[in-house]
Amino acid sequence: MIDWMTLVPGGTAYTVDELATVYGLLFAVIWLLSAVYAWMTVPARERSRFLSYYAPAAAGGILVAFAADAISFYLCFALMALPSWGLVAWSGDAQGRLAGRLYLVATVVGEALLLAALALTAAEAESIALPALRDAMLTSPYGDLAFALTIGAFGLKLGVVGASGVLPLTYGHAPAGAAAALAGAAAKVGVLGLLRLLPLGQASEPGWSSVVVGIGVASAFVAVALGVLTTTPRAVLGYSSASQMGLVLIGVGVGLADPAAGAAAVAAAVAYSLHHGLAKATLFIGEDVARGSAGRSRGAMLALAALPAAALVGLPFTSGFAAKYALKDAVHAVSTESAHLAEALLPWAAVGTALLMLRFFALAAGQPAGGDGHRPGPRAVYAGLIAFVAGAVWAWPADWVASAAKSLTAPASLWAATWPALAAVALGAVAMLVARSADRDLLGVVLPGDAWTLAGRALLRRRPAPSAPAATGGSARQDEARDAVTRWLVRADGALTVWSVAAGMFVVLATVLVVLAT
Amino acid sequence: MSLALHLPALLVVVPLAAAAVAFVVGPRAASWIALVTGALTAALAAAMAWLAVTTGPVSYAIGGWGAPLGINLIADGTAAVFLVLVGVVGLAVTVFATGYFRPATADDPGPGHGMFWTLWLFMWASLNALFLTGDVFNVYVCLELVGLSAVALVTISEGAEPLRAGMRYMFASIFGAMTYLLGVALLYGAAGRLDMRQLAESLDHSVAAQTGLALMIAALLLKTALVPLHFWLPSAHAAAPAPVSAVLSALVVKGSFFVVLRLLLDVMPPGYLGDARVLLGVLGGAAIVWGSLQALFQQRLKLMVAYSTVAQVGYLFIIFPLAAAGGTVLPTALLGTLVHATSHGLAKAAMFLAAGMALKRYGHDRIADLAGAARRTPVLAATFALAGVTMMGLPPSGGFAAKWLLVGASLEAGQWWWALVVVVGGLLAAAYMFRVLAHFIADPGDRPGPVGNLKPLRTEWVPLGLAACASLLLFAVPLLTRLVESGTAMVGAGVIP
Amino acid sequence: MSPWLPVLLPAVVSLVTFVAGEERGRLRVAVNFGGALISAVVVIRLAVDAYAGRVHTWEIETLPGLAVGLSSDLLGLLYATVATVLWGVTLVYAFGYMSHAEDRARFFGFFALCIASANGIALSNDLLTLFVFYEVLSLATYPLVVHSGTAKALAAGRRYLYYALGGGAALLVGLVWLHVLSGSLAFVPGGALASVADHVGELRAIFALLVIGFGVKAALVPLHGWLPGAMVAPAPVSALLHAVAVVKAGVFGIVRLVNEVYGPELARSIGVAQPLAILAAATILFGSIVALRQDDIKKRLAYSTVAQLSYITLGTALCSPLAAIGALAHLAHHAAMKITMFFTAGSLAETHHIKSVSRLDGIGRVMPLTMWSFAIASFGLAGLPPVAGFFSKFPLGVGAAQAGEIWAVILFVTSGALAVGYLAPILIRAARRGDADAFGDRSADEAHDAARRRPESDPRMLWPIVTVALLALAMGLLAGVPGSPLDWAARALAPSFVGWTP
Repeated sequence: MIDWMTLVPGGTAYTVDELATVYGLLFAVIWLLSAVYAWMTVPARERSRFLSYYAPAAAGGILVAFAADAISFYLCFALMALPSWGLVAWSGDAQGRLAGRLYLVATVVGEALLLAALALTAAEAESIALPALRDAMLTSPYGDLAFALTIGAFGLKLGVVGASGVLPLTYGHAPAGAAAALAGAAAKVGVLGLLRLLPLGQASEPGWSSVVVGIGVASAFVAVALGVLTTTPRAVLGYSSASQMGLVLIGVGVGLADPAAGAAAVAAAVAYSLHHGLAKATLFIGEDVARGSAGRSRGAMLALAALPAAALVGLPFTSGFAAKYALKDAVHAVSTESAHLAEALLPWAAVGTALLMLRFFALAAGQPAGGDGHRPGPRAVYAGLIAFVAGAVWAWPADWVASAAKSLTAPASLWAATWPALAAVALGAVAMLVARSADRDLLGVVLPGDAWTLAGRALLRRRPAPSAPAATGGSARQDEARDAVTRWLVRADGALTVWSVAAGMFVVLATVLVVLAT
Repeated sequence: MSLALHLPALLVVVPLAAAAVAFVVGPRAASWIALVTGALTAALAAAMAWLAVTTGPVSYAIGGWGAPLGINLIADGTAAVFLVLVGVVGLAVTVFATGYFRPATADDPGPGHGMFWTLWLFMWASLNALFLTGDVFNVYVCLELVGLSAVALVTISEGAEPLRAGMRYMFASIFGAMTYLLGVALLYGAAGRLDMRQLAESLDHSVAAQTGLALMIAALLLKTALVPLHFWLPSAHAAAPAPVSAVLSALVVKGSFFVVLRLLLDVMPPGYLGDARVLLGVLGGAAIVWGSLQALFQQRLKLMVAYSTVAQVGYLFIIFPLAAAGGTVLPTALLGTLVHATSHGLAKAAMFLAAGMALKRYGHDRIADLAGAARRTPVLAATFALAGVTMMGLPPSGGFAAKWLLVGASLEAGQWWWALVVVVGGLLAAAYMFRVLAHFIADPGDRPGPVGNLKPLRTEWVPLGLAACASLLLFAVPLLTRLVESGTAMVGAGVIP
Repeated sequence: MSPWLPVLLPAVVSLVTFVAGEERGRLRVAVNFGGALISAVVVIRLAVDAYAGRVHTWEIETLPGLAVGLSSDLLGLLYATVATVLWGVTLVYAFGYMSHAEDRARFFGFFALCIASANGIALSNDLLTLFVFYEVLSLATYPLVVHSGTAKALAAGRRYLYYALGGGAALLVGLVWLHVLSGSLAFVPGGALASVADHVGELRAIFALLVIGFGVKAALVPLHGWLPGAMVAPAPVSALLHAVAVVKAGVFGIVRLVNEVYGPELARSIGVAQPLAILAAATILFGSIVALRQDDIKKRLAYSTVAQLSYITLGTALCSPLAAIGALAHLAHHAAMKITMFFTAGSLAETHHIKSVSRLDGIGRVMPLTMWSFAIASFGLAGLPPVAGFFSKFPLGVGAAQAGEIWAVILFVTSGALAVGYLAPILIRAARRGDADAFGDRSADEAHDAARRRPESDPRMLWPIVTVALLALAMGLLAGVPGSPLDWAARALAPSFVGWTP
């Protein structure tokens, strides 16, 4: 019945379809370039420790793109996510350990939800092939539950609203190379998972569509608010990721509303994955390179980071422009209320992203120097990544790229892509003036990881001491009682041996027997 | 063939003659005579069992005089079970005793060494006679013979304690015998016969007959040490030398029980004596609980083992309230009872012999001070542990088979409370056995170890063998089944299809 | 090839070990390894036969109308193979672990006896035989639990006995009752009680009694109380007996009971499966949550065992083919994973005197192979592919969903997360750099360097750990291959579900 019992070893199978090609390439590039960067910047005696976490994570992180059945997908997902703990908690100090713990909690919960979703759909499908599971999502009596579980599982990976804090925690204490990989590739597995399991373009699920779009919108804006108010450049980038992934969710959500919009939605999600993956990885590495430099060279390095930052904002001629165009296309194609709302809010999300980037540059410029990023090798990797950001998406042979390129000639769309950035600059300037006059940092009020960090700290403080070993044996009172019983028993039996008692007993017994007998 | 016809008589005559010879020769020769006789008697018992299985119950009129004038010996399957038990345990005890009573030095013959063999062979003969006799008066004679030799054997060790215990035992024994005789007199007055088979045919519901039988049974209960008439047993069994304790606990109490079984199942028609049967069951249940609790709190090993006997005897009486139920209840319960008697006999002998080893090697039998015995005297500890398996009724021991059958019979009869008692008894047995075993395994610390040579005597493996037999008895149950199914010599109840 | 050989061989090993005594160490080693090797070969031969459809049966009559019999069917052989093969591995470990201990003859004698009875339980042809070996196992374990002879060990042993013998008593009553009711105790795939199916009340009571009996060893809450205390036993005992042979005897009994005595259909229709499932679910949650709070490594693992055993019970009680198969496969999978963990715990205690989680900081750098093995097992226990655990939990979850028991699916994934919760701290601490004075007065780095120069622990302990960890990995990687525990379980249980084929 269940075909995997007779499958190849481990019951696993892989495929190379369109999604697998896109994501496979993206993941491979990011994991490998990040590895090169990390190898050059991690201290030599730590390299083996680094590799022991990074290698399995990278293997899982790349292979997951090709997984074609539930077990393979789950395997690769776990192989990527769990060893990454070692990267997240890399610094080993109290904050790093806390981040590691919280990351682990989020990951494990996510895996559990995913497993439940897979099991539920596999029970219906009687197969573990991912397309079959996706179909079962529609036919299974527990389809809605499976739906919710899937969104929960990948939502944790994507840092949806409520879990936005997970992303800054994930990237905050890892080596820069690892952070780049985690942000650029690992998080995108969440998108891939949604595309693989949710029936985009197959059925009309307006209810779920609204839910997903709603989550996306909320995620996009909440993360901006948190990110602007947080304290470290990496945390800002983390929140920015959460915000951007909210936008991806909007794309996925509209795809659920109308089968006709499915292809556009998938295209939007893929576009965002590609563009954001490369840009965000570049920003993480840029931050590290800049931190290693001082003075003018830091300024230069940060200036280079303006390109990926501009891409995130979606300025014309950047990869972000193309991605945003694809998203707009998808949202536009659907006429649900949530889609309309999302369409109206999309430019404001870009404003938010722009604010986050400004905040990032402000923080990155001001932090003390450190790290190994300034050497030529790492800088070369940085440069390579920038080249990818600049050209990779535009070179990608896809419809959405072509139509985005075409719209570059339309002034309206150019303006639509530019004004959010200008608005953000204006807002930023105002904010800076206000902050300066207030004589204290009004902005740094959100801990990286927000409520998650607070909860984690509180739980750790309240952790009880290891329980004392249970007392063995009974208490004194029990002993006394036992002694009393013992004494009574022994005395009672002793009484039976007294001749008069014994003889009397015999006579009584004999009499009773005779009476009973006759 | 002709010899086979005389088997019942030979079972009595051979050990009796050997006893006489052993009395005459010196202790060393006596031990050899006992060994040879033991082997021979055991073989005769096995042959007897074979005969009972193949040809059915064997009846033997001594001297050719039949009832009512002469004395009839009856060897049916039930008797054969006990005869074989006596044979096996007797032989094992004999072998063990050759090592146990071996003088420490050449010129010290050891206490009571010489008398042991004579008394023991005499008792063996009397026991065989008791199991074979088909006549209620002869039962009295055999009981007296067994009782007297038992008392003598208890007092074979020197010291005040054995003497006191022996006296108590003797009084109880005589008291019981007298009451039994009184019952026989009443019965004879009412029925006019003593031969069991004839009694079975002619028993009426007269008050005299019923009173007589009730008195006989009361007396037998005293001799079987059923609670609350067990007052003499622990001291007597604990005070005697180990081989004697083994025989007393394993075989002698079974003798009087056997008579109860005969009277209630074979001689009396079903339902005869009415509620007295239920009382027997109740007392049996009480014995299980009371004896086990006492065993649980004993400080000395031999007393613990003795109280365990008090408890285990209780199981034998569960059959009586069940006997009246129809279906396969009675055969099942009877088989269970016989299996229990057998396995308890084997295991209890092993335990007492092991306790004797402990006493001899450590110079005491205080349970708490035997810590580390598992390391220092592993054979002893293993014997105890294996014997304990049967006491607890765990498979594949005979105790387990017995419990299975008794519980099955109770449930089938719809009297689940007996099943409960049996199961609780097993748990209590586990409690007192493991209390001892835990001490054996415990770290000895600085407690004094055994004295003398640590290597086990060759004869000390014998109790281990007995215990092993008991704990594997489940596999011998088909043999017992065949014996029981071979039919009974009695016509009255005719319990066996 | 007779089915009693897997019982007889370890029994003979046990006997020879006892009789040879404490002094003849070389004979002990030879007999034990020889016996283990031959037993393994025999069991595997039997398994090959059973795969080809040749089932050997042997029985003798004991109690009237009842036989004691052994049969080499696939279901039993799965458990027997696990016990026998792991016995050999554990022996290597045990000879290393016990190299300075006292009473080794007693230890190894009873150890072999436990395996003999576990194999007996596995290959039993009927409930009576199973019960016989079940009780022998109860007894044979006791001396191992109290091996050290300390007051603590004796107290734990006493507690174990209370539970084991109490359970045995319930089992006895239940079996006799069942026999009186139905007249047969034989195992028949799909159940043998159709003829008395209308005695619902009695069947329920009997089921309850039998589950109490098996539940003690299966550590079903509230009958689990003996297991954590029993961890006072030497590590090989905790590893092989309290993770594999003894506790699995209980769950195996439940597997037989549900699938081959009552049959899944009857168990469901008379309403006994559902309460059992709920009990098992409660046990899973209870064990997992309590494990979170244990600082003592072995205790933490023990509570984890409590939880994991109930996976098997729950899967069986769901009465759905895939769940039952996952459950049975978990019997083997959990064995390999948990034995790795207990080996590790023993090695930590023996090599560095570390017994609590809070003292593990940095141990991973000192004992890398050991801790990596532990990590593999942990991943498996948490249900992560490609380690074995996933390949039992996934079918369990799917089966539960097919049976319509969504709560069970949720429970499986929840407890998987909880498993990470109690195992991850061990790994996390092991991966830390460690405090300066964690290992005597050397820093972890120095200890790390020192460890490079010599093996991280006694090789007799190290290599068994690596072996069983790889075994757990292989069971998962090769889960789709014929002969893997999963495939085996599917074939073994297929006859119990009419109209279902793997």
